[in-house]
Amino acid sequence: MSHLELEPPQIARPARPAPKGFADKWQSSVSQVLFGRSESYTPDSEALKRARERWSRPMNRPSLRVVIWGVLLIAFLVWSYQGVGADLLKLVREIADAQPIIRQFMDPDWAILSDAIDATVVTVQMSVIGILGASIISLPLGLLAARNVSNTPVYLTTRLFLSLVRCVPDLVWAICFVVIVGLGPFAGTLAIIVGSSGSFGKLFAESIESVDPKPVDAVRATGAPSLSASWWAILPQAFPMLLSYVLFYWESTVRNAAIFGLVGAGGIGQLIDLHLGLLRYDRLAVDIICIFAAVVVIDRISAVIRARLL
Amino acid sequence: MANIEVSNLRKTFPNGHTALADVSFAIPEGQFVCVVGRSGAGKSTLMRCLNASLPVSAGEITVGGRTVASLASRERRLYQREVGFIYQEFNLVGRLSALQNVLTGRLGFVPLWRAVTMYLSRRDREIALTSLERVNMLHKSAQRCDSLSGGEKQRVAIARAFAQQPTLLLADEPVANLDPELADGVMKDLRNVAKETGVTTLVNIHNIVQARRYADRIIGIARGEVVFDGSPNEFDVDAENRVYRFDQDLDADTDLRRELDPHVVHDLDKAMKRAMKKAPDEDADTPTAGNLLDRSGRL
Repeated sequence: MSHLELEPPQIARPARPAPKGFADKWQSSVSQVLFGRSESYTPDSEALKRARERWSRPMNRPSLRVVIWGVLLIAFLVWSYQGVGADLLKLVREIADAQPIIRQFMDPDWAILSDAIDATVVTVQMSVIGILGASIISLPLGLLAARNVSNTPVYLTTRLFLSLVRCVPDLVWAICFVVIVGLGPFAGTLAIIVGSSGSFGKLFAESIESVDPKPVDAVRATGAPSLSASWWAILPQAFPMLLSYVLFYWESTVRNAAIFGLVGAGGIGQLIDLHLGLLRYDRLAVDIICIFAAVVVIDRISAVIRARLL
Repeated sequence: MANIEVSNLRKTFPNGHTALADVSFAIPEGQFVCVVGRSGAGKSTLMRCLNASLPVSAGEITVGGRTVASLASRERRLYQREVGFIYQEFNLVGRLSALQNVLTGRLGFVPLWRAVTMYLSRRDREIALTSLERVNMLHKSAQRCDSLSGGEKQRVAIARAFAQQPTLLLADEPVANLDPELADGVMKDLRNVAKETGVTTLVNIHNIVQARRYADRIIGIARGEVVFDGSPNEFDVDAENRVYRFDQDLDADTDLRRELDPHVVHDLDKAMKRAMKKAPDEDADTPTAGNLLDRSGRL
């Protein structure tokens, strides 16, 4: 019985200075962080006084430099706003003018639904082949335009070429291909391939540049030729990013299909162009609903693919 | 398989730092050599010179009768595909499977079309599978490397090096990132496979106990020079001091150092310095590692 009541053995502890207040402890650890070594801490050292001075100032008081940059930024925004020629009052006053359009929109003409679906299917087919073609073309372009794969002259040349391709609007590519291969989805597909390649090449290159270089160097050090090493060590690492870009552009291409219709390059865009021209907003509504449905489906498919492959 | 001859090797980096001052040694075919030295002693630089991935400033390296000191790109590639290299951080491609990672060791021998289609010949795949089996990783060959544990990753990296069917194997701190138990297992595997295949092997290693246990021979490097070269049995306290403590006053505390691992000694040294800097009355009887030693360093 008695042994149960024994006090726990007293562990001899060295006599320590009485615990100080929280503030003192905090300041001492601040000085350790600032000056690194605990030895340099003496309660009234000059360094500590200066540190107290420095760190007790309100931290969020902006310096003159920050103020100047802030003013410049605001001036830039104001300047941009002026260029827009925005007139918010007019927007509010005359919003009623849009009423007929909105009313027609709210009452879609379902009679053309089957035509719209057919055209949307063509658009989706164009986008699939277009994006696939663009991916295939852009992969080597991306490798050539990546700093960690190619040498400087090739890198610069490819980047320049890609910028040039990007600068030509998709609409212009579409017109070019309509002239070459005639009206229809094939011209639109070619326009998608070329137009997207410009963006893909750049995005792929940047994905490729951001991979971890160590495994790449390790594979190169096995005596693998540069291309083999890139293929086995860089592409697998960049794959998730490449896939994300491809899936996003797939959706984006379907959404932008209207552009290709303007020049008769096939798909739902042609219907949109037609209905816009006839001012048949009730039919336009059906076209847009079809695109919306396609986008929703593609979004779901993308989610499944990403979940499976990433 | 190849013998190595290094004579008067010097490597000065563009920033003026001389990592290797004057290194000479010769290693016969099939020997398993551990290179020890402090961090910054030039061990990694030596490895990278032997791998021809760094051009040397002066001196010669001959591997299997071939001069490799400063190879041009194509010759260097042909040489490097016969040199296996194992890294401290494994450097595997995380999103590839273990087998695919081992197959990258074959890429130097594979025509481009096979590399690009990722369709390697039956023989290459057999070599990869064999080397995976050698390190007991065959059952994980389909698993992605980023889901493997540290020890498994290093085993895959070893298999990758052996898939090259190398004549020379270089390992730069292969077990420094692993816990002691795993480190032992990986070193054992490395030595076994090296002995089975008869490949000449150089291993940079920090752990002297492991170096003594697994090496046929130990080369100690300090300040870019070879300060010890001999069998593990000859690697005594004097040698250890030459390699690790060339800048310390050794007269006071040789007795204790004779007993302890250099890592422990290093920790104790730091603890002791801390303790001695404190005021003598403060914390005098706190049982820290530093206080276990008196000023002469004896327990």
